[in-house]
Amino acid sequence: MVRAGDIRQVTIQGREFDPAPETNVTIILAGVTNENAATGNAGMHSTQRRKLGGFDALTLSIDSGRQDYEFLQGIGNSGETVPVTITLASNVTYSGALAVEGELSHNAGEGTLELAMRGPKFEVI
Amino acid sequence: MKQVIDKQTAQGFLDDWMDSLGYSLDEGTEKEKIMQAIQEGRLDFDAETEEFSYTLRKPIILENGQTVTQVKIYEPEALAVQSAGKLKNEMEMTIRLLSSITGQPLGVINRLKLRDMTLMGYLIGFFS
Repeated sequence: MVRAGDIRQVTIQGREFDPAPETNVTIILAGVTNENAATGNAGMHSTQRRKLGGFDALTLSIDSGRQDYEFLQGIGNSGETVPVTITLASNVTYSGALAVEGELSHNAGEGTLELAMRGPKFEVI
Repeated sequence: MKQVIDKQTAQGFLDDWMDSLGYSLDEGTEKEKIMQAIQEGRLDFDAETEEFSYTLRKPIILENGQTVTQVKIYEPEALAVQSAGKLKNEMEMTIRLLSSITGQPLGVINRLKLRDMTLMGYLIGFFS
């Protein structure tokens, strides 16, 4: 069974984007994070916080003729979540409603854009 | 499956759809399967949006518990056909094109049963 490799498909708000060659996306499931610290009496003090799902460091090949950058910036400007799917080399598809995280900038020399998105849920479908 | 539309009515629907899209279908397996889907109430066409609504014979149960029971099929853009055409084999091309047309991700299209995929392939032909 394939466990690693190129991303097979990325769709954002119904538009299919081309993953940049050898892009290495980090998938994040929604859930909780834990912080553990020792107490003075050798016990443990744990703090659990909710975390969003989504992905980091997805590099897309940008088609300027299609105004891909403007499309993504428009989603960022709205501040709203949009439907996103990522299908990995293993044919597993993650899906969720995600909002743009951070800043977007188009590396015109490379023809790429790095994208991160977050949402309440990003799960295997 | 139970037939809810009689053959004559189904033929009338099919004739209207073919007129609308300027497509003709000869007698044969393809026409039989399409007629069967119409008679079972699983296939419809919106002349205004030029979209087929197809209820899957075998719904797809997703890992998150949701079920895909129906897909919409519309005319693919040239870019989608071109992108699909770059792939190695016919099955991969069909899967990629169906993903583009239905808006369902590859991971979902890969789980279509053969009869559903075959019929959806016939429907794409209406736009050729």
